[in-house]
Amino acid sequence: MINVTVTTTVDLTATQREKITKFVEQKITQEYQLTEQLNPELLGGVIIKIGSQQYDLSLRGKLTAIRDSLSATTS
Amino acid sequence: MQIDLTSFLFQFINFGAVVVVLTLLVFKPVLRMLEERADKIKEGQQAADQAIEARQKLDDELAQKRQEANQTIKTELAEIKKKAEEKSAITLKEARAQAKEIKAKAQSEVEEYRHQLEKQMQAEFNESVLQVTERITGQLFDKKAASKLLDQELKRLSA
Repeated sequence: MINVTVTTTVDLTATQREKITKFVEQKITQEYQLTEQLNPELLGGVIIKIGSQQYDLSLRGKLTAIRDSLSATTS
Repeated sequence: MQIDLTSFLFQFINFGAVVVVLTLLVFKPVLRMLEERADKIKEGQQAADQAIEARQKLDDELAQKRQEANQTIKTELAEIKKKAEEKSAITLKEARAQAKEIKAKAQSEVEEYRHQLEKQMQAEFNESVLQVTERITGQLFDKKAASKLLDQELKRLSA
């Protein structure tokens, strides 16, 4: 069984949960266990971790990507 | 006036004897002495002429030597001056090249330092902007806004 972790800053609505489930089932065919986590550090958005694969759609992730991109530019 | 022949003859002979005696004893030695003196004067004159000639020769030689020495000094001075000018030109050229190299190195170092400083300032500025953004975002995003953002992200995910 594959562990799927969904991290957000607010509780998921039913619609949101359904969309996430649909996304996960597009990615894997095996059985999975979905766990929801709250983390205000994300600032917004969502991080979906399917096994070892992670989909970072959080604002924190975007800012980190921007930071890394700027660091690469200025280094 | 009567002339006494005997006395006249006696006087004549007496005068002749005096002439002979004077000729033999006085005139010839005096003449010889004068000739010797003339010879000495002539020799002295010749010696003086020779001395003058030798002196003139020495003066000429001295003048020639002096002229040669002056010419040699002039030539050597010109050569020394030429060598000094060449050496000076080479030294100046080397000094200019060295100065150019030092200047280029300094400019390169300054440019590198400026570049590093700009990058550092840019990085610090970026970090500050991101930190401020994070702070403001954390404060602005209430639950409703966060949920709306989540909806947008999930919509993008579905697409």
